[in-house]
Amino acid sequence: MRFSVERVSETDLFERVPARPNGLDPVVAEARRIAAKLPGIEFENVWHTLLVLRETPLQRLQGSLRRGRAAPLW
Amino acid sequence: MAELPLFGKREIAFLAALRAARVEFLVVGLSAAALQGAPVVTRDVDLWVRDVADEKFLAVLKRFGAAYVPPVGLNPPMIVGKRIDAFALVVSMQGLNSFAAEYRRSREIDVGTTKVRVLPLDRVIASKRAVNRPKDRAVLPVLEDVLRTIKEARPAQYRVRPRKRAGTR
Repeated sequence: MRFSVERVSETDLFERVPARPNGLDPVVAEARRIAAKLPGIEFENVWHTLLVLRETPLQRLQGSLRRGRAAPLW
Repeated sequence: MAELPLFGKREIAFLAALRAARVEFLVVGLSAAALQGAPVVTRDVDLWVRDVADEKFLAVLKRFGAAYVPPVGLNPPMIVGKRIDAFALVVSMQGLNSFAAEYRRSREIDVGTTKVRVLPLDRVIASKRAVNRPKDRAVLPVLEDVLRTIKEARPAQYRVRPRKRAGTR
């Protein structure tokens, strides 16, 4: 029995991300705008904050406790 | 099996009971920061209670199968009781003004079906700066970036409306 091996590129192994009509995720776009405006601020902190702000306060607290109790941080 | 939330109906009911009993308290620390949008982790919800000897407070604890344990030696004051073990007790805060002063400028935030008064993010930062443990120094740059982000992205959300006096709702 013969097997045929189809050639795939490395990028084919990644999950496909649907293209957005305007190109950039709006949260990333807002984070980039804020990071560019505020000197010394960390883009990652801005982006994570904007993501968390989309949740309700209760969801924010539940996520914080879930992650805090999952890892023995201190 | 569905995962039980770490902060669910029982914890919300406890906060609602404190509010209904007119116990004066603030959510402080990193749980206060998280409620306001900081992507930080914490293990407990710290409550700063104006008067831990307040009978209304003790009655609510009892109703939830818990009790107040005063500080002994190096042991901090505690709320003991498995039904509400998400909460920790704070009786004083470094780097801040009196409870009454901080309560006046606290923020009211919806938590599920109830509301709680929360130490504003700039005051959480002030307390972390004053305590200055390694874990506080580690989180300060994040909290400062969060505060700047919120003021830029959601200025109306961060506006603090001072209360006239403590104890009014």
